[in-house]
Amino acid sequence: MNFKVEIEKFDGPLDLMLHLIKNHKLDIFDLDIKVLIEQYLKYLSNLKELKLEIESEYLLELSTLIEYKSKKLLPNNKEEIEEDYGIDLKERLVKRLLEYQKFKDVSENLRQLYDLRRQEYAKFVSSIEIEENNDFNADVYDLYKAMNRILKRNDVKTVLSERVAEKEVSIEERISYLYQKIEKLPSKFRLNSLIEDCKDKTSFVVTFLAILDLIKAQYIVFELVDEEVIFNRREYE
Amino acid sequence: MNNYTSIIESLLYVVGEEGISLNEISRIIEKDNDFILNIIENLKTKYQDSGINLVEYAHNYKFVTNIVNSNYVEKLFNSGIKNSLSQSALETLAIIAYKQPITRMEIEELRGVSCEMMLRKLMHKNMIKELGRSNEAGRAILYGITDEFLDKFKLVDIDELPKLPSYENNQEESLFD
Repeated sequence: MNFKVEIEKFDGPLDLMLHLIKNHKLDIFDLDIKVLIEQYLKYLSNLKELKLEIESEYLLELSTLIEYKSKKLLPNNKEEIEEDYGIDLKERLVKRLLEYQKFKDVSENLRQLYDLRRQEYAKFVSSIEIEENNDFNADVYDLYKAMNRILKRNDVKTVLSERVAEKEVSIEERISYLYQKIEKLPSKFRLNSLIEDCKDKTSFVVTFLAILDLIKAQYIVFELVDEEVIFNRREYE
Repeated sequence: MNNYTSIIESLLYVVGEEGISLNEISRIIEKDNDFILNIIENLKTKYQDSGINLVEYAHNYKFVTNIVNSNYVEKLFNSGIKNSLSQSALETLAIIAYKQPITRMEIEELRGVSCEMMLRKLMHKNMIKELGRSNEAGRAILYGITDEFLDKFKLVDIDELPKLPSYENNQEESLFD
């Protein structure tokens, strides 16, 4: 069997709405909210069918759309709603869409500039031995810039954002890891066997705090033997 | 005159990607800005068609390679094409550039998506900075763009940003071209 999956990726609910308005030739200045909701829902159910995650932002905007529609459906105080609620809501949405469209459009111009600039290469500042200068005059931002440049120079090749996203292990996670780990260790063991997988300072500190927690919970006890800490696993039935 | 041209050329060579400002040149050669600007213009013309160009970004002058040679320069690195900025990074930057100082909430309202991670990334890339705190309740952080941003988008200063389109009523035909 042959089937084709076509689903576009949008930069959030406003991006999606603009796409729907354009594709269904809706008039943005006299927006047919009903059609917009239909199409919006269609897109979301497509996502669902493909078992893709629907980000909460899409649902938030959907709830605004549906709120508008449901208020309009109430027959009795239609006028009242048109006046002080419905129009507001619709106008606000149209305003937001137009505003968003502006930035979406201008970001294309910016992309062109950015892509041109990326093709221009400059060389590093010449390295010169500089005598110490005592009237050093810089603010925190200068310092930040300088540091940033040093980092950039030292590892131009590593993608910095990847490092920021690096997952930090919480103490809770570490505790449950240590539980499993300790069970596999002999009843007496050294600190080393708990920290051998720690690669940086943070995981080291987290592990240490986790160990303190385990001691507090009396899951392990420790003793000093020849100036080295030896842990004892407490056996439970 | 020639002597000063040669001095400025040497300065530009040494500063490399850091670039050098008009004030800095003026401090070093002890001449006024008009005098220097005149030389800079001559240098720009002199280098125009060579392998190196003199550019001004974020009020800093610097030598960069001529864009027409970029394919060859990249061959030197063997590194393939670098990633451009993502659409959401560009949109966030655009909003900050045109609306600064601006809070995270205001950016999120405009984009309809949360952008905490994006702001962190852009801070990390030194494209945006904190400008202080809002006076409103909550004293949210205000963001603005950096000189690095201006440099990366070939701008002398923020007034050089491309004009933001204005979509008024009854202009729908031009909106979705």
